[in-house]
Amino acid sequence: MHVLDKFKLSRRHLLRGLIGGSAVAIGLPPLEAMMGRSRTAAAGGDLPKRFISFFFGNGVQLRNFEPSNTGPDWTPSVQLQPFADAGVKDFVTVCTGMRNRTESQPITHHEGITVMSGYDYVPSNAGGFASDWGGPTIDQVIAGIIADQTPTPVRSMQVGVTKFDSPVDNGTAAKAASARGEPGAVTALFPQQNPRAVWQSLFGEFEAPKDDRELRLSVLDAAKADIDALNQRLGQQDKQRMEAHLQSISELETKISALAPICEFPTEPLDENVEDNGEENLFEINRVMSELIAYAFTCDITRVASNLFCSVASESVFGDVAVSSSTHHGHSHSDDEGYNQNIQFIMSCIAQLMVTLRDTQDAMGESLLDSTLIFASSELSQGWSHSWQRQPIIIGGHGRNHLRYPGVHYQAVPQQNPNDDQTADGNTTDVLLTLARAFDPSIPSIGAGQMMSTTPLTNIMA
Amino acid sequence: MVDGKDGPGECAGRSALWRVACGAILGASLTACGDPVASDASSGTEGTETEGAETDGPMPSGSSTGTSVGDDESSGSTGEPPEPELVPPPGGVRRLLAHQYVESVRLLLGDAAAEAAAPPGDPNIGNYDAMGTLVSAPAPADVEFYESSSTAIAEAAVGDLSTLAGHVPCVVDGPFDADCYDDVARNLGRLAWRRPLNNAELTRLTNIAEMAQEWDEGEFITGVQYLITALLQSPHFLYIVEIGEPGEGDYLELDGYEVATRLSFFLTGRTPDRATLDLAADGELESDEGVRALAETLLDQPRAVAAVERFYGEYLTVRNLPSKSKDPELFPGFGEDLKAAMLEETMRLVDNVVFEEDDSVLTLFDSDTTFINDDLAALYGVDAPGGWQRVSLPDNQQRAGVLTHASWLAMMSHTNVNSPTRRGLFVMEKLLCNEIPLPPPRVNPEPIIPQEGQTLRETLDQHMSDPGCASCHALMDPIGFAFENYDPTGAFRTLDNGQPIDATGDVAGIGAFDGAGELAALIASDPRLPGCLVENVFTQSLGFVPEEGQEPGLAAVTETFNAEGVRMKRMLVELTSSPVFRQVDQAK
Repeated sequence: MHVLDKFKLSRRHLLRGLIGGSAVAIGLPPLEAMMGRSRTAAAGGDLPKRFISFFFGNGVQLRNFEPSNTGPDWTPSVQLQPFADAGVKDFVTVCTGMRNRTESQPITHHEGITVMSGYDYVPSNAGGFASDWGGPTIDQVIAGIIADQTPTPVRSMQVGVTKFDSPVDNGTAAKAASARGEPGAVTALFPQQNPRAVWQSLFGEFEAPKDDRELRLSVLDAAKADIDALNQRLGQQDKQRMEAHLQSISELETKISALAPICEFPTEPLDENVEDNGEENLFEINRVMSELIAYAFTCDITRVASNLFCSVASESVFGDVAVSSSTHHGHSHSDDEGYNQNIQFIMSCIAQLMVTLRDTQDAMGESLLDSTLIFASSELSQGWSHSWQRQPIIIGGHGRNHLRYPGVHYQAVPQQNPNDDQTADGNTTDVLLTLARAFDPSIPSIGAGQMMSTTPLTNIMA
Repeated sequence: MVDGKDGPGECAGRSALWRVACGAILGASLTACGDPVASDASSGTEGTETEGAETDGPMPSGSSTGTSVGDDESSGSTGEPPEPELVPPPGGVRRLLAHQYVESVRLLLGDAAAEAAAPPGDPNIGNYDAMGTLVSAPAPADVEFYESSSTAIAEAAVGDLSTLAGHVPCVVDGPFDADCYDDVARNLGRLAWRRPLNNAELTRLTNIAEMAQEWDEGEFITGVQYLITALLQSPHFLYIVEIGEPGEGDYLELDGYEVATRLSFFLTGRTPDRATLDLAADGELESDEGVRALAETLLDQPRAVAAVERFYGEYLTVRNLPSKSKDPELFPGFGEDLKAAMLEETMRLVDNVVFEEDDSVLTLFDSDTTFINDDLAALYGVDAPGGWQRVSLPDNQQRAGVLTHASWLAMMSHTNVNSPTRRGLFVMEKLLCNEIPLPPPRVNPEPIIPQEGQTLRETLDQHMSDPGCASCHALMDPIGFAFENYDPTGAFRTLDNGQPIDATGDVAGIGAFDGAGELAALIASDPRLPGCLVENVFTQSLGFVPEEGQEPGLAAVTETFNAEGVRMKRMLVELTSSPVFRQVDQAK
């Protein structure tokens, strides 16, 4: 069965990209309802912006990834061609040659994960290669900004595509693409690869609202009272976990108390993504996840999402890619055609997310892609060398003209040769700060230590 | 030193000293290491110069490396280091694993309720599931799962009251009043929270029941339903609480209920039943004898078989076999039935050795017989037995124990090629508790491309030419080469890429061998194996990676383990009654 048959779209089948390109309006919350949720907006402030982080493990081939020229007229490389093919190249900004300033101990696939947060990782004793998040990831920094300004029923959502990760890479940084909290008290947010579960967490509460909300809140109150009592007996580490548990309960209470958004929801997808390695329908799972994100954005259920497409050193077998015979990690060490095409496939999945956003309109009738920023990267520049310099950085969308449009190719420093994955300059965290400033122009910095940035990357800003 | 097997030149032993020795060598290396992908598989914990400088040799690890007879700290005349002090792991809370949650619901509320249970998945962060239970906090999505799961469970439970009525008869017999709500909170609550509830807790629960009853226009059972949802969303259900209380020693003693809980989850995978909690209430679990008796009782339950199988499934990694895939063009027969049979082969051997024969677990590593069905017979190239049979496989295949089972061999290989590095790493780290240093930065700067007419061993040997890489890959790859007579699905072969296979090796700290059978014999007789198994059980059950403070306690358990025939059940009883298991340090 084709996954689109399994994923029943909105009752009105409203997303243009899904019904052959005819442009129609999605069922939307009234503008005033959407604006009313925002103190800033109600006061005449900024219109909504959205953010998505997209992580893909095992790096790229720089010779096939980095565009040969810079500026707005950059020529798509082999591995960036999918964005041109999908018609969204103008919405893409590419950053190359940048330095990841982490001082984390190198353990092949881990030190470069820090590109998503700007914080060195924390060593973990979880076995094998292991690291934990040392600070919040960029999506969670932005989720915090939005929660302070414009609370949504769901603070952020975390999805994943392939279920198959590395058997020897462990710790929260290897297994989750999102983490929140502050250094020393970080909570990992693990991805959900089951589309039905994602649907349930986004729409289930509103699709069939029950009339027992007061009772449910009372039950949660009792749980909070139990946590408070238990906390008296715990040490610092467990107290932090209990605080995180309380915060999660608090967010569920917010959701239970929220009014149902006035928009059409997609019906529950039938696909649960249970296939074995090599048999997963990765492109279609990614498409369904993209659509769920688009619906969630359109209904203003949340404004922040992350997609852990494949984790660090992922041993997923990309069944969608004909020449891919080994695991993605295996191909990354062989530097072969399977690796090249796997990377193109990942880029086509990011492009597909962008197309879905482009073809979905928000309450103002604007394309979601115009109000969204997507940050995509990997833990490595090139899979076989495990270098964490010159990591690929792809930004989708311009965030209401926060970034240049058409998007540019910014290169901090040229390669010395086509496989040069060491020459680098600048600070990858500058990119994170640049994106965060779209949501809070006054945020002073992102990250800590050598990775900290106080200087946004003006070269890519509008 | 262990029979001359440990030495600074081999990076062997658990001491940080050896890790530093290898790390120093590796730190200078910037060139290629390892097999096409498995060089990533080398792992370890970081050693420091400080650690090394303060360590005068390998630390005791298991009875085989214990301090010498005649050590006497009080004499002060021998010059020997003092006996290391036992420091138990910290107290605190552990989140229930999903299977523990479901099986506890089954005990509390019956099969229909267990079927309805849908807790969030386990946080997968390390070698053992339990590791995540110590550090992870429920994310918003997890809390929603806990809520929706408790709702579904409660609906199922009141739809079929037979199990609940066994704990609280009034839900069926009446009278249907506030006292019955109190009975549910008190008796079901005691099972769910693994201890008696205090008055404040009881009041909170009965208040919810009464609110729900009122909301549903006086319907009594609705109150029970919502009371159940509250019980199951409480941290007292979702977390195993192990704080301890002051005892005679320096550390805190788990109280009777905490002991009952720890043992029940450890040996039966679920919350303690009423009889076990009664033992705690009667003070029966405050003595070694009482704890041993309970452990023996629990090990006699059928549920203990599943618990032990779960350990071996995680320990050997074979529990992940159902989702393992192979290149369908190379291995078209690697399907669901065969994978299920592979897993069952290993579990049948575990059940046979641990429960049916109560034999030495070393047999698991060198058994010359195994269990096969027709699917496995086809893979192993022998006559179909027409159902599960215990057989001896042909001598030339050198099958000996679980390391020559197709299950483990398939797990420790890639989709299309073997991984000698991962196979060797597993033996060194998981079975023998020798930590392999981290690879250097910029490992594998050049891609590794197998050449035509080369065996995998020859390809890897080329990339082992750098002495920095070889210094530690020499601890892994040559062990893995012993298994080169088995392909990525565990089938026997004599050629690799058309060339004869060389499965010989001579590894420092292990010995010389020709093929997997001889290596298996060396591993089974390695004195590090039993102590390392104890450490793995400790981590799988509690989530803690043993630290130096726990080594003396685990070494004592290992000593008894060895003295009593290396039998799993005896070791589990010994471990549960050990101070390292029954005491905790300050809450973390």
